[in-house]
Order: sequence, then C-alpha cells, then structure tokens
Amino acid sequence: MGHGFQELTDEELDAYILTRLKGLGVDLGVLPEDDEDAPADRKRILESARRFLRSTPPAIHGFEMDVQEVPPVMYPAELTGRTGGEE
Amino acid sequence: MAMDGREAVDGREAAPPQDRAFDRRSFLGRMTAVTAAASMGIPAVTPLPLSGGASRPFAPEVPLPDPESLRQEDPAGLTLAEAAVMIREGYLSPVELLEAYLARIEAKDELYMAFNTVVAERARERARRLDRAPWRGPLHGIPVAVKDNYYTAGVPTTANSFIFEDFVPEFDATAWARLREAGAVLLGKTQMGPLATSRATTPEGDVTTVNAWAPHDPDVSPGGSSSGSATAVAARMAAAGTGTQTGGSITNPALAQGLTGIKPTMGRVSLYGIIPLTYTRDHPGPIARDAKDAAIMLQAMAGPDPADPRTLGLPPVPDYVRAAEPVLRAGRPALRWPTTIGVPPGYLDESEEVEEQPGEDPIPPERRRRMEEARRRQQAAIEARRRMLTRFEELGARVVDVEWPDEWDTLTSWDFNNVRLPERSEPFLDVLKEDVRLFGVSLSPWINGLLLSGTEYLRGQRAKLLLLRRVLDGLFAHCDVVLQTRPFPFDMIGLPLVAFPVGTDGSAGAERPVGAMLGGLPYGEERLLSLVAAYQSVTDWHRRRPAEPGAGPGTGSRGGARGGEPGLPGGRGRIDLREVMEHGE
Repeated sequence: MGHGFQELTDEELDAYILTRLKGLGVDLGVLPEDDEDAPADRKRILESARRFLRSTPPAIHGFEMDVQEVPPVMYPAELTGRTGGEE
Repeated sequence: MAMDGREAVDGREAAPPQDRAFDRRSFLGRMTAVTAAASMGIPAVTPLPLSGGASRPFAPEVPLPDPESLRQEDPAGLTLAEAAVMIREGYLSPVELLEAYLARIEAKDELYMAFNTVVAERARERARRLDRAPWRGPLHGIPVAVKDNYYTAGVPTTANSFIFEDFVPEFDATAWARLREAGAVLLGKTQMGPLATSRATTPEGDVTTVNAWAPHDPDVSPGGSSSGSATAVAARMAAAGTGTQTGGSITNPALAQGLTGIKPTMGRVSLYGIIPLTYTRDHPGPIARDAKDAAIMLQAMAGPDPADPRTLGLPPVPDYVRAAEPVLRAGRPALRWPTTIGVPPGYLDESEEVEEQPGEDPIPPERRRRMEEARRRQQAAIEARRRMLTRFEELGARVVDVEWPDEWDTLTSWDFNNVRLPERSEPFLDVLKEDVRLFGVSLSPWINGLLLSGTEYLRGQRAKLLLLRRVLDGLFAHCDVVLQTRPFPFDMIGLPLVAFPVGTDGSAGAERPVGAMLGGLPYGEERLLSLVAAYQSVTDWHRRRPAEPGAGPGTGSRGGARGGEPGLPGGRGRIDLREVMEHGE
C-alpha cells in the first residue's frame, strides 16, 4: 500500500503545502507565479515540495527500528560544560 | 630528525593515535545528544570570553628544508608551512607575504571571483603590527581567506544572502578568533553558495567563483559552498582558507581544485559565530595546499569553546602538526602508525555508475555531454585510486576490502539525507515569515524543511544513530580508515573526512585534479592527516598548481550580496533548483 502523500493529487498536495505554510505564517504569494528568470517562483517551489513529500516521508516511515535499540537520549555535552568537564 | 626534516621512528613506536583510544559509547551518546538537542532547539548561549584554544600556547615546530632554498620562490607560491619558516627565520616579513597575495588578488580575482570582500588596508595594518611582534607560531603573519559565513568583527558577513546583506558582526567566530590570535591575517571574506547551499553564487543564483583549474569554463564546478576559499587557495590568492561542511563543502572543493581539506569530527571545532545551516551536520575546517598546512590550520581552530556545548568534554586536542610530519622507518618513508585502509564495494569498479541526480527526462544534450565527461573523469579517478593504494601499501599500509553495513543504501539515501532540512528552517522561521524572497535562489529546501513532521524528523535522526552505530561497530571493526567517494554519510554522522589530490584526469591542455577521500573514526584527524602527509611525502600531486590564466571569456564583475554589480557581464550562468537541492553544502 502506498504512503498517503503518494496517493494525493497535485492539487491536494498543493492545498496541504499552502495550508501548512499559512499556518506557520509563511506566504508564498509574494513570489511570481511562474517566472523562470526569477530566483524562485511558486511553480518551482511547489513542484519541489511535492516531490519531497512524495519521497522523503514515505521512505522514513517505511524504515522501522526497535525503540529499545535506538532511543533518543539527552545531550551530555551541555551537562559536561556545567559540571566540571573539560573546557 | 632526518636531514630532510622527516622524523625517523626506527626502534620505537610512535604514541598511539587518538582514534583508537576514544570511548565509542561516549561518542554514540554525544551524537545522540546532538540529535536530541536539535530536536529540542539548542539553548541560547551567552558569548563568553575566548578561552582554551584561543589563549593556549600554540607554537608547534615546523621542520623544513633550509629557508635559503626557498628564497627565490614567489611568496604566494609557498605553502603555509614554508612561509612560516621563512617568516620565523627572517627571510620574509608578514608585510611582504601579504603584499604578494594582495597583488595576485588585484590582478586575478576579477576572473576567479573568489572573494566577496577584500580588506586590504586592514590587513596591511595588521601585517605591519605583526612585523614588529614576537613570532607567535606558524600562523604568524599568514594571510588567510575566510568563508563569508564566519563572523568577523567589523567586517561584513553576508553568507552571500539577502538576509545578511547588511550584517556586520561585533565579534569573531571562535574558529576565526583562534586563527587570528595565532597570528593569521584576514585577507577577506570568500564567495560561497547562498547560506552555504550549492556552489558560490549571488543570492539570485548567478554563478560567481570559478574553478582555478578551469577559470574560463564556469560550468566546471569549483566544488561546494566553500568554493571561494578553495579557489583563493588554489589560485595562490591566499595561503589557506576556512570552510564549512554540511554536505561535502570542504572535501568537494578540495577534490575539485587539487587541495587538502579536512572536515573534523563533530564538536572538534566550535561553530559559535558561524551562520548555521544544519545544527547536527555543520563542521568548520581548513582548506589548504597540503596535509601539513591543513594540520597547522586545524591545530589553531580546534578546541573546547564554552559558547558551543558540542565542543565540551571531548578528548584533548592532539598535536596535528606533528602527526602531519612524514616519518622514516628503516630509512624509508613510512606511515606514522600501523593502519588498515578499508576499500568499500565498487571503489575500483570501472563500470561504477556516475551518480545521476533526478532531473529532466529525456536528458538534454549538454547535460549528457557533461555526464560523459564525468564518466571519463571517473575512469581516470579509478586509475589514480589504484596507484594511490599501491603507494599506501609501499608505505606499509594494510589494504583490505570492506563491506557496507546492513541497509547502507537506505540509511545513506537522499531521503534520509533530507532529515537535515528542518534544522535549517527552524532558526530562520522568522525570516521565512517576513519575506520568502530574502532566500533568493536557495528558498526551496527551507520550505521543504517546514513540511517534515516531528515524527519523521525524530525517526530520521534515530536512523542516523543506527547508521553511526553500524559504521563504528561494523565498518571500523575491519579497518582504521575507509575510502569514500561521497561526503555523506561521514558528514551526516559527524565522523572526520579528509580529501587530497591523487592524480589528474589526463585531459590534454585542460588537466584537472582528481582526488581521494578517507573517512576516519571519531577524533581520527591526526591519523588522517598522518596518512595524507605520508602519501604526499612520496607523491607530488599536492605540489601541482593550476596554470596562470590567460585572457579568455568568462570575466566579469565581482558579485556577492553587497557591492559589485549583480549582473555578470561574462555570463557565467545561473544555478537551478536541482543544484540548490542536491549539491554540496
């Protein structure tokens, strides 16, 4: 079964992307719609974002690890710096 | 000491290198912690007075041939170590050395576009003071090119981005401060990819810096985002340079321009005062002409910094300069330490595919031509690799085939590499909200970083730790260093990586260097530098310099985030989105 992002249409993904960005306060509307001479335009940014969503999240979700084997832990260096470790 | 300056180690073993003495579990914990810190947000740090490496004694010996033999050289053609001896012995003054470099910059940089800013008068004032000052060590009076993402007090620091267009820091990045305190002279700030993405361009994406080996062909990449520093060093416009590597941007420019560049272990060099790209992967390091020069630079740059917790609690900084001195055993050049070199699958495979990036289909003719050229260079590189391995065996290295750890292709894939992207978006969120146009040509990865969820980020970071564990327990169970053809995963997982020249591509009349990369264990910088130094003691690839450029197409005005002209009359082209997304950082 495909990953959810891979099953969405371009229009659905664009809506997702723009909603997510709007929720963060990021506005792509200031970019030109389609202008190859511009450093960036909405068309290319959205194309890139769609490719990214269809590839990277599915690949990461498809890789499973034992949480006991690979746990996230705290950052020791900050503690070392405050408790007499080498400086 | 042998007459030629090489150290004889007959009858005794050199003290063991640091990489086999470290606590593997400690490093794993540290890297896990870097991940956790990034996911939580690095706490704000208060700038503290520089300590540790900035003020510690720093005067390693640099034994070299008689300075008299170097007197007739163009000072700008000397290696850093050679210039250091000339200055120490009074045959050359910091002012004379500086003027030699400034003259070359004045004459050549319109073509190379390696510099974003040149601070000639400031440098002259500094060199004059150093002329009168006691010798501080091998960096005394050495002109250095600094990448434009290192804070330099009173000197604009733009990262070639609109975002930092008017930014003038009030303090120095720790890594630069240490070089300065060791006596280095700031020549200027170098061109870079905007915010350290891609090759060097203006914020809009117009190509600026060219490869010193092909200055009239802007399509020949100078390497990744530290290409301004690399071109400055390769074109003899600086004695050495600083770079940062997130995805290959120290090692790639070194490979592209016949230089020696080392990306140290995560935390070995402070990132404080360097404009961030990716917390868990940014590494500052030197780009130099050979292993000795890289060692001298790294010696000054490395060390604990209270302002960067990633640097605390590490093993003490060893003597890199001594490690980079070639040794003799039974009167013959030899490795300083017994070393097993791992050769990964495909390393000598002539049918190895040149990596193709996703892009247009069908492939345009020009891109196809470049791919075919890349294949030809690949074949030349493989021949050079074979010769290199023979040299290392003659030096006493043991060369073994090694296998990649389980799930290597997955864990080092582009998708897992993309896990870094939220780390660049997060510190710039306010700028993204203000106006996305400030990111110029580099915008896309910052947007994509906003789209990765927390669960995906954490899982990707855990996968990175699994990869690190498998590299340490699996790959390095069979060797001390391993040859690499790509910068990642070593820059993904914080392990040291050195690039150095091993041949040329054999192109008649347009010869370009090819290089090799060795990856090491945590804190393996001294072994890596010792290996490259031994190799360079029996080869001369590192001594080859690009020809002086004649008149030709491709000249233009200096670009950059400020000053100069944004348009490039020479028409060096513009990078596209693919290059921003997928090339060296």
